[in-house]
Amino acid sequence: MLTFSTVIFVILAVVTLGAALAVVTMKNVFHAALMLVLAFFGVAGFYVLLEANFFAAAQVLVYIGAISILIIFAVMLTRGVTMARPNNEQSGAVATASAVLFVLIVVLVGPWKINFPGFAPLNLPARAFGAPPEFKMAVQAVSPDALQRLGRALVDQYMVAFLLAGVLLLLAMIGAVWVARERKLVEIVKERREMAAEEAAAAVPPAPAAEAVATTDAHH
Amino acid sequence: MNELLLVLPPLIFALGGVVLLMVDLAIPRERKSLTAGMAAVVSAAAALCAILQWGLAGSGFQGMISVDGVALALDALVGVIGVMTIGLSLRYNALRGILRGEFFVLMLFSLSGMALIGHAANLLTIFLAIELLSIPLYVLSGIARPRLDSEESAMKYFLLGAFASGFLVFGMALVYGATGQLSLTGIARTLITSTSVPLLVVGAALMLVGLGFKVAAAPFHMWTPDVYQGAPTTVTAFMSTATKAAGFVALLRVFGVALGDLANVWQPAFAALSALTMMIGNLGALTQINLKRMLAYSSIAHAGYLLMGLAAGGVSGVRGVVFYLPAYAAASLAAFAAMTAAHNGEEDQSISAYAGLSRTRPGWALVMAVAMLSLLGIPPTAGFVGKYMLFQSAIDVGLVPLAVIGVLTSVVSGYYYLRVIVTMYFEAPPEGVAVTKGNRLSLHWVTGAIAAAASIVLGILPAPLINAVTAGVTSIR
Repeated sequence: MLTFSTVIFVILAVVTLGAALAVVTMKNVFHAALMLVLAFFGVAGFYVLLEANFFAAAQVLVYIGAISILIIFAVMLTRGVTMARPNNEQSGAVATASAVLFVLIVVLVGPWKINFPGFAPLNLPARAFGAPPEFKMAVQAVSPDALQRLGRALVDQYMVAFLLAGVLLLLAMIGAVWVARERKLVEIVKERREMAAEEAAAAVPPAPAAEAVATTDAHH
Repeated sequence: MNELLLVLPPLIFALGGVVLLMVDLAIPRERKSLTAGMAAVVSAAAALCAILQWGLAGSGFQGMISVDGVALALDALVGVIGVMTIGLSLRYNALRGILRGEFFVLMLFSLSGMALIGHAANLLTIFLAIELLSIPLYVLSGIARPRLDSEESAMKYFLLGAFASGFLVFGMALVYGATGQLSLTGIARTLITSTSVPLLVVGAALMLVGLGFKVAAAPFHMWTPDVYQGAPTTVTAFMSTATKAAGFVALLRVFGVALGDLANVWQPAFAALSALTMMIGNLGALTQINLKRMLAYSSIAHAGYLLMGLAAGGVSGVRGVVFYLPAYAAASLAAFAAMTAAHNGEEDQSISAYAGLSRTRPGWALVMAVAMLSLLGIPPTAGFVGKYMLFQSAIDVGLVPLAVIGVLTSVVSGYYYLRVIVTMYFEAPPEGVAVTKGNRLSLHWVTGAIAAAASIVLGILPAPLINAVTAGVTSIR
């Protein structure tokens, strides 16, 4: 029963879950980001175990290579929050809700078979607590030329969706450029002054403050 | 080549957006009205194309795309809304310093997403089309950056919108898991034999949450007042009319076409949502002193009336929805047009700022009055005919309590709609406001007048549109 892949699966599971848990419990945001990288590596390991080599490579390239690095950049560029102690008073409630939801999904949705085309029917409780061979059986149907078929489907059957995704990326880019566009020094100085006025207005609540806020609306 | 004909109107919007994006680079900052003009031409061309294609039906792109009467009606409607929004944008955006090329480019892309929803024959296409309409709107609502209210609006819309998209795509995944199908007709076909009904129901519920957010139905309406208030008014006008139309067509395609056989499960949910939305929208509007916020609640309330048509279902219910969308759009555009016109420069959004408008700006007061009457549903306006059709369809299928709630909440809505008219006509204008004898003939005025005129014409002569809509609805595939 205790096959080689089972051992690897257990190790990967412990590493992934441990790292994921560390992401949400660590006080230092930077350390949390590094733990996220570890968790992503664990998931990539699962893909290897499932013989989905392409997904493993994509996981490493996209999540570890790009997204994690982006997060780390963001953390380092915003020094103010790196060592912040965000006091989350709802963690207990969230933990309870997550546990309840997990059990509900396993108990309610689990018993019904999910039929993905080309896959053997899956049974959720077995997936959640069972051994990896069941996983393996599920993906065997798509090997070995899965990658070629995926590529061909993208430009054939799913061409419209592929093109639309391209347009979406273009839009996200336009939007990001707009939001982060360079502004003239005059604009920035004016903005700072208005923010200062607003803060002053917030500090002194009575009548004159309301007028100060009103004048800040006179942008552009 | 023939397949391209099936998506011609959305394609015109998207290609126009791409071309305009590049052409705009060559247009100097102070002549952006040229960009606006070109965007209006693209929008009008797409609407015209949809009208010329009327009667076309078919599917293509390996079942990803289809076309029917409702798709073409949506194309034409959003195209016209696009042209009218651009008509309002020129003056308002210039006053606000946001007459920028990106504004019109993003709008065209958003329009292409809206139009594509009608043509989508696959859950994948529907999801991508909804994202295509949403992402430009997130940017548009924040386009008056660094104004704080506009930034707040964009931030709230983006966060909640992304969350709603998560619900939508998760629901789609569950439906796919239950049926093994992504195409709408494929889902409809396997629905009968599916062994995972609970999974289907959970999936449908999640999709309803996601789409309910897009059409601002209660209890997923929380974002609406803040986002509508903070966004530039032209963007708000665009959102409240075109997005609502696209969202309802998405609901129609997912629930009507794909999950039609599951109607006995989701129709009670639609009826409950409808009742809740009508009550929350109309009661929420009662206490508003800010006109833009009041119109936001009014928009929620109208989502409730429209949901009633979907809850009733059948040709008569869907016909009511498809008729009410342009009727609501005309009245809403007229109201926003009057709102942006009544003040130069900085707009004062409080209702009391419109006191005595009948003396200072008689033309705009009339436009606003017509808009309010149509939103309220007083004959002979389009709003009356639309509401009549929706309530009738609900009574026909035995949803009498829902129709009663609709009538009662409409009566309640009279208070806040008529209050605007009373303020405009029977209160003295504030000191020092210049009285203008007649309106200068401007593009802005023409746009507002057309919207108000459409509200009345559709109310007096609704038959041609009703006939066209009925033909469109019976051709749904």
